[in-house]
Amino acid sequence: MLWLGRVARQAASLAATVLIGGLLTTALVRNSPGFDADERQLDARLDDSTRALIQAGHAENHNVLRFYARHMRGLLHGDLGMSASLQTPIAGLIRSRYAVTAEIMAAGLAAGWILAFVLALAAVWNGACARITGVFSVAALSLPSAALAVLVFVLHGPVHSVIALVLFPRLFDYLRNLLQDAYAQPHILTARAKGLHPVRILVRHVLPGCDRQLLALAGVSASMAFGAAIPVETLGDLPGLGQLAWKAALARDLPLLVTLTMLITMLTQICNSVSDWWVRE
Amino acid sequence: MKAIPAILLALLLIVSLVHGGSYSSQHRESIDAPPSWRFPLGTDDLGRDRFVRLLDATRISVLFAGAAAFAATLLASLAGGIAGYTGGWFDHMVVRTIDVLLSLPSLFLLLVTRALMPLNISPVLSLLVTYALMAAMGWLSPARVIRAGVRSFFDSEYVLQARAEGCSEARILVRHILPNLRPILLAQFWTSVPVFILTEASLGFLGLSAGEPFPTWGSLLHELQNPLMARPEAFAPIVAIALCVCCFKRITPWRVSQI
Amino acid sequence: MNPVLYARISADYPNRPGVLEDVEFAIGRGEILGLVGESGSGKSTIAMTLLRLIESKGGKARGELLFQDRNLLALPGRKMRRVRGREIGLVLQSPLSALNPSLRIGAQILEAWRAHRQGSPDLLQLLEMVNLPPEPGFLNRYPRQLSVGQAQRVLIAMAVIHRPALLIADEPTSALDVVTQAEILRLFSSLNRQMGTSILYISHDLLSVASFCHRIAILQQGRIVEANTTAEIFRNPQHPYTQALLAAIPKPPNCLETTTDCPSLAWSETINQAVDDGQYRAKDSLVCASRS
Ligand SMILES: Nc1ncnc2c1ncn2[C@@H]1O[C@H](COP(=O)(O)OP(=O)(O)O)[C@@H](O)[C@H]1O
Ligand SMILES: [Mg+2]
Repeated sequence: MLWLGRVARQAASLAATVLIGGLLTTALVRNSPGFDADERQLDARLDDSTRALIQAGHAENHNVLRFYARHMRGLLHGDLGMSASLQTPIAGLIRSRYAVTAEIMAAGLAAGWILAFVLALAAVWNGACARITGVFSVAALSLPSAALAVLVFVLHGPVHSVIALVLFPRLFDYLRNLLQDAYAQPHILTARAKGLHPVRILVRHVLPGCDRQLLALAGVSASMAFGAAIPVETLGDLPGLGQLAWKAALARDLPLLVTLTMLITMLTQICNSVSDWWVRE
Repeated sequence: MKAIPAILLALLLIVSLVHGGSYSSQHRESIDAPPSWRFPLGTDDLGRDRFVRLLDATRISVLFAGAAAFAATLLASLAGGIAGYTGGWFDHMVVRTIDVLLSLPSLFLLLVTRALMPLNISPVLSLLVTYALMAAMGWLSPARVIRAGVRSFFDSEYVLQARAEGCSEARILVRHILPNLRPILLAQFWTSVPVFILTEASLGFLGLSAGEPFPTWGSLLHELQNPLMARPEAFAPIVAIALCVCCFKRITPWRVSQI
Repeated sequence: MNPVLYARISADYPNRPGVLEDVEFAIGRGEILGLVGESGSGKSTIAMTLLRLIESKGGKARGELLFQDRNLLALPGRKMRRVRGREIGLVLQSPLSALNPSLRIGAQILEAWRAHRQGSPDLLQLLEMVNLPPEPGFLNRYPRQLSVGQAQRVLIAMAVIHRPALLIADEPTSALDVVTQAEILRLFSSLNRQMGTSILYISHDLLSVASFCHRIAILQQGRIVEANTTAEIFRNPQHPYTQALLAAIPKPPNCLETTTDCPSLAWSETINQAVDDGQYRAKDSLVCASRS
C-alpha cells in the first residue's frame, strides 16, 4: 500500500512537472519577440493581403492558455497536432524519425560508456595509464561537439562515434573521480587484505557503492547524447529527431517545438523518477 | 611545455587587440583565395580575410564568454546562495527547477530559446542575445554547487562557534560565509568560460549564433556544415577553440568540474 | 629459531619519497611486537608495506621482507594475494568504515573464507572465539547495526579466520572507548596464546602497548629509533624520543610510592589511572572522524 502511494506521488509530480514545463514553454514561445517573425513575412515578393493571411494564422495561436488547452485536449486523444512548417501531423513525424535517433544514441552511448569505463578503470589501477588517458580526455573535452562531428565526417568515421567521442571525456572524468573515491574507502582496503581477486573487489565492493551516482550519470549521459545527436543529424542529413528539432527551431515552428520539449521533458523525468525510486529501494 | 597553449592564446589575443584589419572589408579581386603572404589563411567566399576574421572572432568569443560566465556566476550565486541560506520551500523549488532543467539536453534548450528571438535583429543584438541566453542557461549547475557550499558552511562547526559567541547573522555572513564562498565562485567562473566557448561553437555551427557579418568562433564554423567541400583553412577556428579551452582546463583544478 | 618475519624496508609515495628509511625489525614466532610512534611517523605505511598494499596507494616499497623463508617483495602479484588474509591478517583502525556498509556481516566473513578455501567454516564458533554472540541472527546484521566494539571484533574474526601466522593490527583500539579498548586488548592476548599467532600491534599510545606486548619498537619520522623488550624500554630508555614518550605518560601521585622495582605493577596502576585521560582521547578522535 505504501509502495502504491509512493508510485502515485512520483507519477503526480512527474505529470505536474511536464504540464508546467509545457505551459511555461508555450508562454515563452508565445511572448517571445521572434514569435510573429515568420520568414515569409520578410519576403518582399508577397503582397499585403498574403501577409495579413499569415498574421491571421498566427493569431489563432495568440492566446497562450487557449492554445495550450487545445494542445492538451489533442494530446489526450493521441493527437499531437500539426507541424506549422512541414504541414504534417507531428505524431507521424516523430513516429517516422525516432528510430534513427534511438539507434545512433544507443550505439553512441554504448561505445562511449565502454570506452570511458575501461579507460577510467585503467587510470585508477595504473598510474602510467592515468597520464595518457588524462591527456586523451582533455583533448576530446577541448573540442566542441560540432567540431568532433565535422572531424569524424571528414575522416569518414561511423556516425555514432561522434556521440561516443562527445560523451567519452565527460563520462571519463566523472567515472575516474568516482572510482578513485570508491577505491580510497577503508573497506576496500579490508577487502584487499583478505586477498580477494581484483575483479571481485570491483564487482562486489566498488560498484555496488556507486550505484546511485552511476544511475544519475546514465540519465545525464542519455540527455547529453541527444544534445550531441542534433549537430550529428544536421551534418549527416539523417532524418532523426535531432534534425527535426533543428528544423523546427530554424522555422520557428511553435507546435512542433512545444511538443518536442514536452516529450523530452517527459522522457528525462521518467528516467529521473525511475532512478530515484531504484535508489530508495 | 605546459605553457605553450597559454602563450599561443595570449599572442592571439594581443594581436587581435592591436591588428589593423577589418573583419567586414571585402577584397573583391581575390575571392575564395588560398593562403598567401597577404592572406595567411586565404579569403572566404565574400573575399574577406580569414585571418583577420579569426583574430576578431578570438577577441569576441573570449571576451563575451567571459562576460557571460560572470553573469552566470552572479545569477548562480544569487539563486544558489538565497536557496541555501533560506532553505524551506524556496530552496525546494529552486532545486527542483535546476534538476528538471539540467536533465534536459542543454543544446536543445538553447536551440529552442534561440529560435524564439526575432529574425531581423541587428548583428550586435544577435551577438548579445546569444551570449545572454547561454548565461541564462549556464547558471544552473554552478547554482547547485554554490547552494551545497552555502548549506555546508551554515552547518559547520565554526558557524556554530560564531553563533555561540553571539555573532549577528550579518557578521556571520560577511566574516565566515563569503570568504569561504570565494574559491567556489572563482572555480565556477573559470569552469563556465570554456563551457560557453564550446556551446557557442556548436550553436554557431548550427547557424544560430551571431548574425553576419560578425565573426565569432561559432559563426566561422558555420562554413563547415559541408565539411567535404570546405578548404583546410576553414578548420583553423577549431584549432583556436581547442587551444583556448585547453588553457582554461589548465587553470581550473581537476575536481571542480561538475556534470 | 627463525623469526616469522624479518623486514628491512624503505617506502616512498610518489609525491613524498622516503616515508620509511631502512626500517629494520623482526617478529618471532608467537611474539607480540608493539610499534609505537606519533601520527604521521609511518606506522600505517609499515602495515601497508608488509602486505604490499602500499602499491594500491601508488606507493613503492624497497628492501627485504622475509616471511616464512620467502621474500614477499619479490613475489608475483598472484602469489602475494595468496598470502594476504591466509598467512598475514590485517585489522584496521576505524572498524565501522572498514566494513562494507552494504553487505551483511555473514557475507563479509564468508567472503574472507572463500577467498582462499572451499566449503564453509563454522561461523558460530568463530564468533564465539572473538566474544561475539554466536547466533545466526547476528550474521544477518549490517555494519550500521553494530557497535564500534562489535565491528572491531568482526574485523578481527575475519583477520584470524585462516589462522594466519602473523596478525597486523593498525591502531585497532584508537576509535574505542576505554572499557572496550581493554576488552579488545585481552582478546588479542588470548588469540596470541590460543593460536600462537604472532602479532604486530601498532599504536600511538605507549601505555596500551606496554600492557601486553613482549617487545616494543619506537618509530620516529620513518626510522626505528629504539627496539627492546617492554621491561627494558620502561626501565632503561636509551633514545631521547623514547624518554620523551615515557615522560608524557601521566603519573598519578600515589604511584610513586609503590613503583621502585616492579614495573609491571606500575603499568597496571597507571593504566587504571589513565582511564579519564583516555576517555577524552577517544572522544576527540570520534569528533575528528565525524568532521572529516
Ligand atoms: N597515499 C599517500 N600519499 C602520499 N603520502 C602519504 C600517503 N599516505 C601517507 N602519506 C604520508 O606518509 C607519512 C606517514 O603516514 P602514515 O603511515 O599514515 O603515518 P601514521 O600511520 O603513523 O599516522 C605521513 O607524513 C603522510 O603524510
Ligand atoms: Mg595510521
